Amino acid sequence: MDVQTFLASGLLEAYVLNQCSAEERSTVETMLQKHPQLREEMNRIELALEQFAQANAVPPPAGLRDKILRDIANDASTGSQKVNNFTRNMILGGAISAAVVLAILWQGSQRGYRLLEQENKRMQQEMQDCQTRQKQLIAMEDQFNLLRDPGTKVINIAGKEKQTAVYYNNARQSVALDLSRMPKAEPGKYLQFWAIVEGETAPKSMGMVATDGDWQKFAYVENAIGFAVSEEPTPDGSAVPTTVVMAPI
Amino acid sequence: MQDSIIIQLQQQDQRAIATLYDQYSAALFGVIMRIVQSRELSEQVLQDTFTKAWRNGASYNPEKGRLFTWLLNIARNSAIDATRSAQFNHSKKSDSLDSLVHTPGSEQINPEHVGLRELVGKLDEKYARLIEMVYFQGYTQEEVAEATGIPLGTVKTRLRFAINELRLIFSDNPAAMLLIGMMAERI
Repeated sequence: MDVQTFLASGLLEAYVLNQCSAEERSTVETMLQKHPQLREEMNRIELALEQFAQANAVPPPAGLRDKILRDIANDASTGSQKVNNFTRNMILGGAISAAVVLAILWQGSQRGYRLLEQENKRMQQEMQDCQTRQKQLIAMEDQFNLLRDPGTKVINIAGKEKQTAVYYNNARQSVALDLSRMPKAEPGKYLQFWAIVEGETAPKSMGMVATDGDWQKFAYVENAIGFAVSEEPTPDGSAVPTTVVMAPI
Repeated sequence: MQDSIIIQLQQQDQRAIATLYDQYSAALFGVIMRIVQSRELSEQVLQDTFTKAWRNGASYNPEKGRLFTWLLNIARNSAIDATRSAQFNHSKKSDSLDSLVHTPGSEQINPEHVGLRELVGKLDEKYARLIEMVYFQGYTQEEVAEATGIPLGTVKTRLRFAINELRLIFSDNPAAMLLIGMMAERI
């Protein structure tokens, strides 16, 4: 859609008024991203409506400001209350959803449906956040268990400037590399991770080293006695190490 | 100024709420009063609005609109929830809509905005009512058409016209006022 057609469609006004379907909303957001001048236009629409609201303003009672600020300060100062509020909000969230369902049955109104849809979206978002956090927690727990296990061997490897460690555990069949202390690859070069396996003459490739994160797990390899990192010219690595940049100390 | 409030808001800095309250509480209270129609309940809703803004500050995304638009959405939804739980029924709400929208009590006028109020008074009543219903009270355009008996297409056209007219009113351009008069005749 070109900018003129878009402006004439009235979608931008509908967006500001919260009157868009999900599909229309994504059209508007795409257009805003593509044409920054539309953002200016949206801002002007919002400003006009904001001034309209200001023109119809009713001053709230004098004591309310302090009361609200006091409540917020309480909310902030008690950490445990936050948890309680969170739990309460979760329960309340459920209760509100149920109430909204009842409202629909009772009223059969479109407005109730819209609220339910919004509520539903919010709950979905919250659930997604919880799941992401849970995944992070599980990964951290996994890392913590490996680190404190007495059966975990810590193999230090070092290069010219930096030193890091590989955590190797037979019973857990785990190999993990601490990336937080790794050197960066030269521009256009890629780091590959190798295991030196007992009884074998050539090092075994474990895969490429990730470019972000601070902890990387690799597929377990039996009878490793050392590990190394090499710098390679291709992102897929090589069959034999090109330039070894880190080796066991 | 908006930028620093946004950062404070996202970091749950209490100063953000104080600033937002000073700037927007009266405008929001005006909207809430229109929906809730009880002063006592309106105060509760205004308090809920700022508490929600405080708790959900991190979710505000400046790319999706101005702070006031965000706050208004919170206020409007809280007010609609409050009227529902107070078991206001729909017909009562529509009835009192007419009585409330166009008869603001003299004690409610915010002196700072008297000049603006006069200006907005120049906005044709049929447009003012449309904006009130949609922008303040969260009616969909379909619901407006149903409630007022105006065809949906006309509702949409008038709404766009009303917003453009507001933009002219607030543009401080005397020539704009003439233009409004001329254009209003045509729709």
